[in-house]
Amino acid sequence: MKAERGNLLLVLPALATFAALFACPFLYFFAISFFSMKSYRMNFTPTLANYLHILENNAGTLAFTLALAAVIASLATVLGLIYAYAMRFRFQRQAEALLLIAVLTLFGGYLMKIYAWKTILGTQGVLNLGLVGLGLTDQPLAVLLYSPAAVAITLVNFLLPMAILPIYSSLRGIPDIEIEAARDLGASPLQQLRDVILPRAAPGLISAFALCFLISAGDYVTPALVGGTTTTMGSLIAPQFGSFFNWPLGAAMSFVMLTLGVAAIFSCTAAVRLAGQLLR
Amino acid sequence: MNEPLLEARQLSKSYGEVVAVRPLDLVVESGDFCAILGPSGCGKTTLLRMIGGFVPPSSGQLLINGHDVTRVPPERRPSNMVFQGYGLFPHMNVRENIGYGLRLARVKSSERNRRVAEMLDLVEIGPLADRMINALSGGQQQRVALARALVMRPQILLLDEPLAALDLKLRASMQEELRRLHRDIGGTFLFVTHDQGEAMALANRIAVMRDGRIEQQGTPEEVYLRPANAFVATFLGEANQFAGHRVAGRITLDAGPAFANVGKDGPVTVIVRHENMCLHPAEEPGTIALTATVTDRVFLGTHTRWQLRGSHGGDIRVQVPGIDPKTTLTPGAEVRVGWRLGHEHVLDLA
Repeated sequence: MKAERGNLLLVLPALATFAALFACPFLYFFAISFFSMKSYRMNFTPTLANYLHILENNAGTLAFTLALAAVIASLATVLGLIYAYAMRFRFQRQAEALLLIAVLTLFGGYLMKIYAWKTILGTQGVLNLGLVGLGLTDQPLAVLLYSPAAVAITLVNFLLPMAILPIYSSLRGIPDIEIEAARDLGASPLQQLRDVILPRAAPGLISAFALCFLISAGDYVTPALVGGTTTTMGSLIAPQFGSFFNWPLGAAMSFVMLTLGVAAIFSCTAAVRLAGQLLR
Repeated sequence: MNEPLLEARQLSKSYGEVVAVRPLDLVVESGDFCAILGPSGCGKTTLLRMIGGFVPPSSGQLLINGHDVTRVPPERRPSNMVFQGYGLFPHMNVRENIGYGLRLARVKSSERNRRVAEMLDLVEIGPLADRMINALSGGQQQRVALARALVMRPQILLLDEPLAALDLKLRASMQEELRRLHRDIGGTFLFVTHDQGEAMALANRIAVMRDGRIEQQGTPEEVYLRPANAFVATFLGEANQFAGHRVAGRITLDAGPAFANVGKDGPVTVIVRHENMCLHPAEEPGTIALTATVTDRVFLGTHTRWQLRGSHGGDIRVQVPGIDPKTTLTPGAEVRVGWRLGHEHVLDLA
């Protein structure tokens, strides 16, 4: 009994913080998503109007946001896998340095990366000047910046370390002799990857993908700064809590995003598991 | 004469300044059960890994069935390895682990299932076929690892300290198991061990290694009864060493006694196994006897080990079966100790 009380005491601070800063607001916003606004006042009559509104007007944006997030998360996961693979299997001696480099980029603030990509991709940016200088194009390409691609590039750059870390830690859990055993039984490098490394790294890959997916699906700053006319759910939700002052609609949008995002991750995980079973 | 199944010619491995394996020759004949025996750090595992293809040799040549495989990667060598720690795939069940190599070799699934089932029977783990690896005990994992390598029908099976992870009882039963497998399959096995008992129990040929060198190769009887040097003598079994000199066909021990022994003049070491020594030897021609003081007595069940100090200053150990009820010596007592001539093995030092 005493030990149990001690254990409770240990988790209490975290639990209290979680309840106060996450669970309570979460429940509050879930509740108001069923209310409505009338002349800047909350109308407490329960209604599904907000959800219907989203279904009618924002289905396209929702799909686009999830698709963009999926592309970004896939790119970050694949690049993260390549980097982590190199650290674990090709440059073991330099692994610590490579890890440090990956983690250091996390210190280079989020906004700073966005502005860096603005200067790289802009019409006066390094890339365009280079392309023009090489005579590959007559005039700077405007589409480089202010496009979904710019959003993807910026977010992949930002998310890469968060993809690398879980993947690397799962790759580190694979003992060398398992790979040697696969080689001994005749596995080519590609077969070692398919049959041993990827199945063993699956938990890391899934958490890398989930993390990147959720962050990019919810992001609204990057599209606003480098996305041009690119509209994501984030860029619709943010003003509901600001200029439009329609918290109920904003809350409803948030819950739709959250539900779909979590559903997407769960189905993704299930699909990976199924693919693993079928590949055997 | 047939060419050997496996032949290493001046094979060596250095890591920078550190020499793991000095250039050495090793021959394994088809059907052999060969042990590479040595203390830890002697280079035996490096040698085995070179043979398996996991460590590129610094120099020399490796031939399997007359083909040079020195630069052939492990995935294309006709050898298979049972790793220390097994290296089983935890994301596959027992059946999938065993069938993995056959699947890579694109063996038809009907044939594959048949061969996997045959292996499951051979190593007696049929009922565990659908278990995951983490649900198996150490001994069961050992069997899966063996089956996974044997199902490939390797021309030579390599085993890296195959029984080191098992407890004493299980090790003894797996030793019998390995002997049976070797007999039933008629394959060629090469294994690495630091345990001389295991090497003696399993192998029909032993290569004793020290400091990256093979000190002696031969049958267990040869290396045990006619060790090439004092290291081999003491590493395989336990032996007393007596310093002496041979002059004109007669060896005189520093401890006193002398006996006839043909050979060239010079310093010698006379080696006598603990079990060939006796207390209170008959004082007659054909027997060597020395005076010693008892320092300790250790009862070990099947035998008793007497620890003595010779009057010449050296330690002497005597192993006698069971307990000798007639011998009631206590530490400090003086005793005559010796052996019957013919039980000694003489090493020329010069």
